[in-house]
Amino acid sequence: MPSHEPFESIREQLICRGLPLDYVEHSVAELIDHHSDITQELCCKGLTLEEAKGRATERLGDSRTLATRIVRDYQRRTWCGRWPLVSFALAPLPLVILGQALVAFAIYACLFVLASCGLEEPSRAVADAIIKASLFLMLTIAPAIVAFWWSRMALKKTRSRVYAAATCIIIATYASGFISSVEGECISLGYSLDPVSAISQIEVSQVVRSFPTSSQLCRLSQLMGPLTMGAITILFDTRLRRRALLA
Amino acid sequence: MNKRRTNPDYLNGVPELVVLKLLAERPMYGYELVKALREASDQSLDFGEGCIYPLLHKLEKRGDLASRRMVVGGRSRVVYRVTPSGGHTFKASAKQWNRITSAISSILQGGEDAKPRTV
Repeated sequence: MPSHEPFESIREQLICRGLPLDYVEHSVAELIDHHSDITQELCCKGLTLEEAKGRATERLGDSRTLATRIVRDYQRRTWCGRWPLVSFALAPLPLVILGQALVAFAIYACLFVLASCGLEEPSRAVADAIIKASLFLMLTIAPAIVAFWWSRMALKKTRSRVYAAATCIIIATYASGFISSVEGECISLGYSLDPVSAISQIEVSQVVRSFPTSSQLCRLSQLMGPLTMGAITILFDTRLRRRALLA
Repeated sequence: MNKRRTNPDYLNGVPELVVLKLLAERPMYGYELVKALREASDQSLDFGEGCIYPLLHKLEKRGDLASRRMVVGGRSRVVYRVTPSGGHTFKASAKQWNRITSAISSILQGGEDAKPRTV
């Protein structure tokens, strides 16, 4: 590619804003071709090469405006890109709830299968471990997975790290606040397995036993899970952009 | 590069229509298209010429245009042409545009007539 300073600036801006390298190269190559065509046209009209280049640059448009326009049009190609606030500020919460519901359903299904296979009611220690693991999966792992997946989606669709970060912060806030809001109820989660009738139940008993779900460690893990996922996604993206810029 | 003014808000969607119309006549590359646009509009549409490319890419992504790298005038160019889907889009948009412009014209016409008359 010939060296053109304004186009290098556009190229840098596009890469820094996260557009794919092949798309950036394609766009910049077209702009350079266009610039050459205008220069040629103006030279034929009697302008000097320098004057023609200056006028051609002027006719193409401000590099910042061009870069913004290219990025904006690229972002608006998808529904998520056109409605980023809805997609990455509002949608994460229903998605996390859905994720947690799916995990709960999966656990219930596993217990049901075990009960159907004639498994006797486990000892108290095993039951405690199962419930703790279930809560951990539902309240910590599910939000972290959703945060990872949806922040990647934000980067892919909007090319904006702000939306990716916002998604993770919203999910983390929700996930860490979830415990305190259900603290009283959640600690009394119980379940029973009835091998005779092959019916399993996960029920909220009145007071079965309590689990340390409201401990600072749990809360911290629920907060840090989505935030860590977001940080990993953003760092990885930053590395990719830097590599593209150096390429 | 200097700052250039952009088209007014009411021209939203118009560039797409005009580009589809011109490319429906014959396949063109970016510079050629801008030139045709200026000639067809009698230099009335003023815009940064580089802004044509995001528009072309958008239409291409939408499936209204297809592009191909070809050698034109001894140089390799990306030539755009309208796809059958783009043809349908153009017809629908043109119909809508005609309806809107005739409606606005009649409103403006009515506005002229509705001027308060002095006795």
